[in-house]
Amino acid sequence: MAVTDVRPVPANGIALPPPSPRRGLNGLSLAQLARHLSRRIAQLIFAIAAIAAAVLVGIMTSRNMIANGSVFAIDSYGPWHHWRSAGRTTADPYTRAHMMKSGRLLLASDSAGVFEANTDTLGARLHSSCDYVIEGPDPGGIWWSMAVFDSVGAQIANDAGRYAFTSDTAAINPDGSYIVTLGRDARPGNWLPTSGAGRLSLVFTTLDPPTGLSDEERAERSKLLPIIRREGCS
Amino acid sequence: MRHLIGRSIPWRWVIGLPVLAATVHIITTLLAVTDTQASAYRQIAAKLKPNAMVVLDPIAPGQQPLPFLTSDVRYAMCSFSTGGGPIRVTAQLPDTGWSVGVVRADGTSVYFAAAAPGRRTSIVLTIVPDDTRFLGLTPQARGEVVDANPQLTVAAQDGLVIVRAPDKGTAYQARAVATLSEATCDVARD
Repeated sequence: MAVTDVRPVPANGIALPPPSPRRGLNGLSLAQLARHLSRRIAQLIFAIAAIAAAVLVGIMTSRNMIANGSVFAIDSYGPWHHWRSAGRTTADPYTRAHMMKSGRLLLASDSAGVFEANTDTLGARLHSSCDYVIEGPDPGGIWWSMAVFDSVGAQIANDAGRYAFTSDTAAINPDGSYIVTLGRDARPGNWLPTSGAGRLSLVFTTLDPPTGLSDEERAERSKLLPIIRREGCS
Repeated sequence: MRHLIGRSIPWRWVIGLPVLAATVHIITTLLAVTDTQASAYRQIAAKLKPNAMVVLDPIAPGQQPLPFLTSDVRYAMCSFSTGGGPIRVTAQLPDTGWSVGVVRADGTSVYFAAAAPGRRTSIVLTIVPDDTRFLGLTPQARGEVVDANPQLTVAAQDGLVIVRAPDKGTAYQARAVATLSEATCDVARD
C-alpha cells in the first residue's frame, strides 16, 4: 500500500525536508543542546570559582604576610621574630603595610631591636593557662625591656601593676643574666602576671648604643635573645 | 571541570590564575601601605595639640593609646607639621634608656638618638619640610647660634617627635616627668 505524502507543497514545487521530531538551535537536537548548555554552565561555574579562588588567595596571602610577616620581611631567631626594616625609609611594602595596619609605633630597626614572640622555644603557642620561664644571658650593658601583652597588644590588667621589666627594674643575676617568669600565680623574682589573658605576646626590646651597631654586632645581639621555657599548664 | 582538563592541560588557566592571584596580592599590599586609617600617627595625632610637646599619662590597661605600647617607658610626644615653617625640637636625655625619635606620618624614622650611659645628652633639632615648598633658611643656615649644643636638621612634612623615658622605679618617676616636661617642640622663630 502506497503511502501518500500529505506535506504541503510550496508554490515553487520544492518539497520541504522531512520534519525532525526534536530539533533546537543550529540544528542541534535538544539532547545535544542540553549537553552543550550543561558543559558551558560547568565551564562558567569553574571559571568563576577559579577566579574567585585566585582573588581570595591573593588577598589572604597579602593579609597574612602583612600581619605575621614572611621571610621577605622578618628575621626569626627561635621563637622571636623581628621586622628587619621597620621604620626605615627603605622598608619593604609588607613592613610598611604592617606599620600602617597594626597601629604600632615600632622603634626603627636601625636604632633598636624589637623582637616579638608568640610561641615558646619549642613552638607551642604562649597562653595564660601556662607558666613560663624566660632566661636570658647578659646582654652586654645595653638597655632592654621585656613586656607581655594579650594577643591584640593590650596590657594585661593585674593587681600587682606589673606589665614589663627593664634592665633597670628587673632583678639581675650576679653574672648579668636574668630570669623573667610568666604565670597566673604570684612568685618571687621578676614575675609578670598573665591571668585570664588567653593567648600571649612577648615583646623584647633592646636599644642600640649611641654609636650604633654594625650588621655583625646586630647578628651577635640576636644570639643573646632569651629562651622561653614552658613549665606547665593547668 | 572534566571538560576543561579532560584531554589536555588548560595552560591559559594554569598560567592565568597564579598571575591573577599575584596581581591581587600586589594590589592588596600596596593599598594597605596607603591606608592610614589605623596608623599610629593617625591615632596619636588626633589626641595631641599640633606643634607642642605633651607628656602622656602613664600607660596602663585600658589607657593604651596604641597597641603594644609598654608601661616601662613614659612618653612625651609632639605631633608636628612643617607647613607653617621649620619646627625646633629640644630634649634632654639624662641616662641610658632615654631616646628621642622623629617619625614621619607613614611610620618611617628620620631621626633617632639614644642616650649614652652616664652622660647627659642635649638634643637640638630642626625639622624642615621635605619638599620644595620650603625655600627659606634654617636658623643654623642663617648663622644663628641658639645654644652651644650641636644642632641637626632633618626633613619631614608631618609626623611625631617621641621622647622616651625608661621606668627606673618609683623614686625616679617625678624626675623623669620633669625632664620630659622640659622637652619642647614648636615653630622656629625667625
